[in-house]
Amino acid sequence: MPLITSIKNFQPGDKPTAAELNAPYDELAVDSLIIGGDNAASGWASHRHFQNPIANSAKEYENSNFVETKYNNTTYQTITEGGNPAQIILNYTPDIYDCIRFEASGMVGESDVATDWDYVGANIGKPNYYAFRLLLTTNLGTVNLGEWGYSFTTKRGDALTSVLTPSLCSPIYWQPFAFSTVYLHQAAATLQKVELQCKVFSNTNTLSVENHRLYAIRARR
Amino acid sequence: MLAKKKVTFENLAGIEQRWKAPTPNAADDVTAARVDPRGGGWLFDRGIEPWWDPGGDYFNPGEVTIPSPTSVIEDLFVDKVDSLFVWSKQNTEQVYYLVESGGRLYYFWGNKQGTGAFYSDYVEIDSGRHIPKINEPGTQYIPYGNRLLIINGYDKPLWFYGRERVRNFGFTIPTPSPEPLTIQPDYLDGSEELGLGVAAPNFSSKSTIGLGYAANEEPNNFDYKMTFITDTGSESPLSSPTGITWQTDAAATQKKFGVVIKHLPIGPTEIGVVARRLYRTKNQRQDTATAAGDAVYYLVNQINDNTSEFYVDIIPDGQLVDTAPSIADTSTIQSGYSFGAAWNGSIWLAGGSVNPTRIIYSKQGLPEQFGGFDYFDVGNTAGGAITGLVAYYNNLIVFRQRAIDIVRVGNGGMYQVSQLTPEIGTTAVNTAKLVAGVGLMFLGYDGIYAITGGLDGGSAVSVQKISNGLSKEIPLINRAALPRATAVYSAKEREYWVHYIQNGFTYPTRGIVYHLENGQFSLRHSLTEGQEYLWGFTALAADPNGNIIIGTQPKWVGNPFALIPAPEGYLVGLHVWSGKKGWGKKWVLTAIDQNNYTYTISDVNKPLCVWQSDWLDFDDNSIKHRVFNVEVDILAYGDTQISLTWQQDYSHVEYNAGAQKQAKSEFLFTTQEDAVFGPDNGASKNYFTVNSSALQEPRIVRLRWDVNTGLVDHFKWSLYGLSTFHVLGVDIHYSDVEQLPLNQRINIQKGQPQ
Amino acid sequence: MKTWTQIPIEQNQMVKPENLNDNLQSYVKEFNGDLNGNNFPTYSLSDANLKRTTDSVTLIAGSTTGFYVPKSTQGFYRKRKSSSFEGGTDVYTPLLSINLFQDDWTKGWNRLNYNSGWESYYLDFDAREGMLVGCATIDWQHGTDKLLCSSGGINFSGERGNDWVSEWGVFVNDVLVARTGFIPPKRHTTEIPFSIPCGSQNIKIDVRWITTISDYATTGTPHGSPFVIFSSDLWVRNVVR
Repeated sequence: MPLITSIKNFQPGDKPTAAELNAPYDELAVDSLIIGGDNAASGWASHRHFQNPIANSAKEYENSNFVETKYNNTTYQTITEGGNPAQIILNYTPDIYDCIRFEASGMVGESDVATDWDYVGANIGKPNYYAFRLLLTTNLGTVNLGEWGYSFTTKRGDALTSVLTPSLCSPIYWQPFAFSTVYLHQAAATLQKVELQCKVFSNTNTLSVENHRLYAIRARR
Repeated sequence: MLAKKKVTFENLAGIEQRWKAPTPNAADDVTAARVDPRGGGWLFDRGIEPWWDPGGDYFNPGEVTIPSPTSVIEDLFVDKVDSLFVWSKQNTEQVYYLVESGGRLYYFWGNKQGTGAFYSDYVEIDSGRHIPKINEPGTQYIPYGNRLLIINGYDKPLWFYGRERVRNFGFTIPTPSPEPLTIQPDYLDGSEELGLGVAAPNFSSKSTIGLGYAANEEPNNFDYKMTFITDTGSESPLSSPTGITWQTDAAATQKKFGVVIKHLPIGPTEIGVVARRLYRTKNQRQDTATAAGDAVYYLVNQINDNTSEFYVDIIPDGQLVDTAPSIADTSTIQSGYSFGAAWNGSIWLAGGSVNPTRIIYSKQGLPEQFGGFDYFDVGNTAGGAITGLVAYYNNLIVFRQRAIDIVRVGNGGMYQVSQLTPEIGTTAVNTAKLVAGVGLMFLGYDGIYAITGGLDGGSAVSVQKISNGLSKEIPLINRAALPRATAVYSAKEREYWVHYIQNGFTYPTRGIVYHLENGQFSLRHSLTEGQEYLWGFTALAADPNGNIIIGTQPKWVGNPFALIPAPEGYLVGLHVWSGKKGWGKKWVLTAIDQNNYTYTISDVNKPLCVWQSDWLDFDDNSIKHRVFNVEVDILAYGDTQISLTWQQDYSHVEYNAGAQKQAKSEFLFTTQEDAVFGPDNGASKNYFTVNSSALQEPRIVRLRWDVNTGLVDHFKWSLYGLSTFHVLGVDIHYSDVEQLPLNQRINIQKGQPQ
Repeated sequence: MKTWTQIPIEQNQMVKPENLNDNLQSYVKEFNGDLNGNNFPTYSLSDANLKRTTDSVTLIAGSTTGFYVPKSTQGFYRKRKSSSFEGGTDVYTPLLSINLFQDDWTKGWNRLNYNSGWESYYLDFDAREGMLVGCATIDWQHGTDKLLCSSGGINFSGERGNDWVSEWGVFVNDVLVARTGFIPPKRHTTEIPFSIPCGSQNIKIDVRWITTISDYATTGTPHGSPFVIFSSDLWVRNVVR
């Protein structure tokens, strides 16, 4: 408890010694380096007293160009437009139990849809899907933060057991996509970057991605 | 042999300047003193120090990093402080020292990390403000809950939250109206083309939601209004109405409709709007139609945000219950009110050039909501314009130019205004302060008054002048400049200070202090001609610990913006009345590098202090007296000196009786003197040594000055000191000589009365 | 609070006890619990001055994963069920499929945590007074049906159910605080941000859904479309006042 307690109340007739006179100042010299809540009045702080940022720090990536990019990859690939990958370079080592919020959003344009169904085996309905992923890269490897899916058309996902080939259902153009998650940092590692990626189930379909953005907000305290 | 007599004054009193002082131990002048709270007597141990001390020998505030950087040096270091308020925000330990100077309203947090960060703790609340003239009281500060209202009758009223958040106060402009889209029923049967009105949703005639009558050729007519809700819960006045009408005909058009409000105005963020309310009449149809609703507005919905612009109203008439507020509940107010107070849960505003005799008050608990009929106009009684509002006891005191009115809660909970006293008024609203044990003290045109007592419980309220003994000081006050007088009451010092502008000056240089310890007055002024600037206290306030904070008129000798000759600045920045033996710092400008000003800093000596007696006639001015010596009881202060002078027969000439050390005379110039602080400059024989010198208990000592006057009618003595001194009482040894006053008619000369 | 000189000390002045006591005691009193915003320099506090999260972290594992992490200025509370992670499959494989003709559901709000295996899928914690700022991200599908008619050699396929709208809502202590509005049929990852004030109280946050379905007169199994969940990620930040 960094309080000054070695203060003497001198009385007439006392002969103050150097030790008695110096004691409060010696204690102050030590306590002033470890000032804590016991020294301060309640409710004293204002925003101006804090360095910025104190509790949260944010980074973002924004691509607002009206230029679409197309993807028919069936494994995840980082969304890239004009040579700019949708990623945020983090390059810091969080404290254990720091929480980092990630949020991504964007617009899907006029995708090219050829297949939105499949009634064979375990892939029933899956060709209709495309998905996004947030991939975190650390010095120890990668971390899959989450995957989220959308459909190219309105068709339901399960059994269509007719032997006839059905036509496509209504394709969905110009649909916004958005998702967010929170990552709890539990092991010592350096975060290097986070990327926004996408893939499709069937390479007969081509996903069109227009504007997109990515946010990373570190919450320390 | 002349019989020696002695007159003893055990306790010296304060100022009494009337011809015949009620008590002979009174003073003609007591400057820069306080009454010792431990044991009485007049203690001259005060000085002033800077509120924030630059420290060291040099000071450079550095590059300006604050908003609107032009004229920063002038506004902060050269211009006078026009207003000062120390605000403790409720429920926090945050204390704001709000200063207004050079048209800026700002505060510093107070602790800077080295002089290179001078502006890091500067927070500006407003700039470009009106600078009050010599006959204007300036900005008023009204705490309300944990917010602060700041008004001056010229600039927009401000609502300060603390930290860096401030917004405009009150509803001063009308609320804008909502904009509904038209409705096109005929589009539904194909007889009209696509227009804006087709956006309205429609419902079956049997639907429980939707507006209007869905029958053939039934006219429908609705009017809309809206209000803003601020974060104080106050509701703005209703907007003007906007109407919408439609009529159905063919079967396909016989629907109920939802009204699309395409633009619901967003409240100005500068007045803190957090929600909006939409009101609507019931279906007014046509005048002659049956079942037509009246133009009574009902609440449709409260939209709990200040961002949505789009709203669809589908609520039928039968579900509208709550009526809209009337003009009696809320109306716009003018922004030119100059005075205000928080009393009985409401904000009270009054005065100003536009409404000099009008008082308005808000709803209780809703500080920004003023009803259209919630006002008083005191112009129908004599007394002049309103010059201030102060909450006192369970009443609201209304100061006027030539009267004092009072607002109280009467029978039935209604407010009543009546005149407390005619002919006593004041324009010095900044001097009205609540003083513990006295009441409400203020500076009037002819002295200091106190309002005591109350109107309830059998007590009586009285307004009395209590400064009758200041008959030489009060006439010095510039009456036209009374609005710029300032006052403070400190519970720590137990003093009420009032500082005012003297005739011939443009800023306050003199002050009167009322001491609660003994109910006496003392003065504050310079004893040295040409040094009045050292008392340039333009604004006063007390912090939560009772320290008196002083806003000043900085004094610059020379051009403060030029290097040659090097200008000297005194009283720059806020100061504090404290136990420091000094009078702030002197700033000398030594370098200017673009916008960087560098100053050398040095201490300023405390000015001379005095206790000066009244003219004494030893109770009989018909005979002559010979005064031998003056013996003064003081508290010993070691090897520091005080001096005594004396005067006779109303002569201005002061005879110097010499300086003496404030020490026990028997030990003087010996090693038995009380140990004193060093460093050793040869003035003492006994400097305090740690480990061996003993602390001395305060002792009373008696010092004797021999004066040896001739035969005199009247005698006056004065005690001066630059160091700390503490005077308790005095004995004066004298003798009487039986000599009647001369009869002038014994020797009549030419030109004299015959 | 700022403190200034109480009594003067000057050269050659007698040394009395109050000369040593008064000034020092006022500064000590200031240091021992009265330091405020006028004493501390601006821009002087960093996150190092705020208490770190220590051992009050709760980690949740199993078929629902998440954590409860209360910090100095905010607390993070999160639960997730996802086919890619907790379900052990991938983003294309549903985690939960509700047959709207056979399983129990209502025309009003349906709680996600009323489904088997989802019983613990809601946030339950003691909040501190301030704000709850969070987001629910649900990856779900309720698609249109495809009718295939074959008669007399003529094959016709038609889509039905374009009016089967759905809606998601976030509930805090059973009060609806955010809702999506009608979403037409498709697979969609719906992000629902929400923000409400709260007191120091127990908080329960869950997500619920509404949907519509219609069948047609036929023999055999009714035709419709299941309500399918792929993942749900619910997190909230309790910002302390």
